[in-house]
Amino acid sequence: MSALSRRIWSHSYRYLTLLLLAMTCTALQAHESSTAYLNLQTSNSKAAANINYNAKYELSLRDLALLVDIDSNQDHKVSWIEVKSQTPLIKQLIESQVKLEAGAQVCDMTSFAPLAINTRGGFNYLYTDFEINCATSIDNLDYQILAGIDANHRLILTGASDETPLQVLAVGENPLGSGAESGWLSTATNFLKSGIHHLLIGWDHLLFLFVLLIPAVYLRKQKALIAVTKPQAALLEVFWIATSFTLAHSITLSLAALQIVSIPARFIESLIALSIAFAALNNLVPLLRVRAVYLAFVFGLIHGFGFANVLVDLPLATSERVLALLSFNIGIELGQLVFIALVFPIALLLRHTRFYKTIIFYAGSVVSILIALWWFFQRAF
Amino acid sequence: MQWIKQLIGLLCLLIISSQLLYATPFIPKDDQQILETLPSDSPPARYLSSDDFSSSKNTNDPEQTSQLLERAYLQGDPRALGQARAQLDQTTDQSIETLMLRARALQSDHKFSEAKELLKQILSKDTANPDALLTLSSLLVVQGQFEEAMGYCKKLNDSSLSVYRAACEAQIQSMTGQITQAKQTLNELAAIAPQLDASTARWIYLIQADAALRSQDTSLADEVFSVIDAQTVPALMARADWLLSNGEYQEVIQLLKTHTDKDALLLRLITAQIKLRDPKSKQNLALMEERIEVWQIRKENAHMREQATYAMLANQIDSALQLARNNWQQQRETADIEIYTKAAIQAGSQKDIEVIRQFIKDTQFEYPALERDLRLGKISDCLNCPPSGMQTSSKDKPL
Repeated sequence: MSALSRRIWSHSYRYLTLLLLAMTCTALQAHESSTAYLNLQTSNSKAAANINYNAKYELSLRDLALLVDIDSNQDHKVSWIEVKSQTPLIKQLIESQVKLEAGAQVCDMTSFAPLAINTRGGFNYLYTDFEINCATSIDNLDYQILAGIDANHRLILTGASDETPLQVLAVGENPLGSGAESGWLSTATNFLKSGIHHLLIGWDHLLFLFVLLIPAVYLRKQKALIAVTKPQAALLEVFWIATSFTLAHSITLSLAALQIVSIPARFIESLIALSIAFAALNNLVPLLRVRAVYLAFVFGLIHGFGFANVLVDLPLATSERVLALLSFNIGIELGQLVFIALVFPIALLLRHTRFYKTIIFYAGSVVSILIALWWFFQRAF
Repeated sequence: MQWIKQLIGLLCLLIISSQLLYATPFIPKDDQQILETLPSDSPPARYLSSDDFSSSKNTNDPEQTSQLLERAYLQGDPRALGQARAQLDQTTDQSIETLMLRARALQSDHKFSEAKELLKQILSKDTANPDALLTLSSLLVVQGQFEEAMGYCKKLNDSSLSVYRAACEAQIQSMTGQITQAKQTLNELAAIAPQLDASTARWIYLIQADAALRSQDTSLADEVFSVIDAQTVPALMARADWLLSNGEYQEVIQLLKTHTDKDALLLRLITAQIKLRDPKSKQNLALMEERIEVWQIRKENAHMREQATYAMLANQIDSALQLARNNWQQQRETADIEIYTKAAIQAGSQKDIEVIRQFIKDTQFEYPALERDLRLGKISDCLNCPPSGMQTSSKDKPL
């Protein structure tokens, strides 16, 4: 036995709690922190005196287990029946710990749909869907789930049909609608991101941009398509298409988001689908002998109402709504630029090839018509 | 055409991840379907009936907080850290024991400077506090400040602490040019480890595993991995790193396939899957991307190493380098230097390569395979494999 060993053996260990975290940093990077999601969307029953919201709240089953007993047989495995059997208590828990307020009055929670499960990041979340009935727009949120239990718990609040976060709340912090300086900044950045995100996940807007962009590398001469020789000309065309689309949708987006003009969402969504079908058909058979720039403007007006649906539903004051609108619009533009930057160089590169003409231009337009018509039937009927 | 391939790959990934992100809720058809496995030592549910909602059952038990911190570490469970923090938030106790727990929670949350400040505050009250000395030293090691770290090891004067002092010193020596001497000490410590408490034994083994990886010492690695407790996250990470460095990718998949819930392990699993061209790697990358998105929304910056690793695996080299560089400002463990080196070489950034070389020169950080990579300007993931042509990795073995 070496001197060291002898020395060690000769002493008892008094400090048994040492070293728990001696190499902490390496291991603690395995993270799935406690996060819940709340999505609020005004429902369409505008005739009622009160404002109704459709709410979706999601809480990880691991978090739920800290609150309600969803492991009744204590085998550490949570089965669906164990979760379901706690439905009444789960509802009561949400009602008492997630309080949405409008003008200092607590909104009612009603019409709980049967519990469901959603998967996020590979983990199962309890998914609850319910109605919230408020006298006026929601202006405060008192969120107490996991208060005093997990200091790292966060609620990600999203609005409308979009998943982009509006706010990230810790328990008892940043109530909704607080007008602090940082609140303005965060509103602006959140809506900027929301705009980018909304455009990039909005398949219909992307498809519309796509059908407008693909002919931009061609000139139509006596029914024949001729690839432009100078990329600058095509680039200029795309610039004007994007600008006129932007101008047009900014007008209608502002009118709708500020609630000056209101058009039913279903009507607009169907019209958007038709506009895509029309634009794609116009690629194949020029129906309107006008430049794509004008087409982009007219249809931009329609699509603006579509973008606005995201903002109309938000529980925000008017002043904040204007800021949100501005940031959201800039975000949409950035998203549009990203899309153009991805698609257009490919179009330019391949414009002389048969592949581009037959597969991308002709087949792409046909497929776009089919998709758009499918959307139209889904939305209109 | 490479960029077109990359673009198509990126779009595929985007589509997969958007499907994951916006997965549709479902109602399980089978009542008996298992939806979650809870940690074995998870606390009981707080509310048994609605009457309990208003009652406060806040606990303030240092022992329990300590156990939560331990669980956070051993199981890679950040929820346990959040729970420990919630308990600490509710106490106004300023005893050294509670301050120590606060310091550990801060360290676990990667709030290094706050943790250091608190530890120094504890030491100003109790200059010989072994917990504070050791934690401070380990924190400085993580940040690559070896000399200062050694200073705190040497302050563990009490003879009953000789094991801790020896391990503390050996860890630093193994990283600063005295690896042979350090291995000797660690061997002696490992021989008596079974008689020590589990966490001290694990600490010694993990230091050995790190030394084995850096010096590509197969016999030391075999020895360590035959005795270390196999199922804790730190041990799994160490073993997976060793296997990856030996090109034993199939073994990594076997080891980690049930651990996809822990990000650090999931990333190692993806690395092995990519090497074996396993189609599941795409799915797992999308899973990882989804989790990273949540960190970003939560504005958490404690995951830069993982983010950099993810970016490397997703072939986003510039972003990987930026993240690895930022991470380097925070922590400098073996895995940190490794990802920084990989990103710097891949991006061909001489400036960053120089930073790493300088660090190795200044500290005498011992990692021959990495130095070879830096010198050659290329990455050899499989550090311990024989030269090409003689390779006998698991790829070639019948499965």
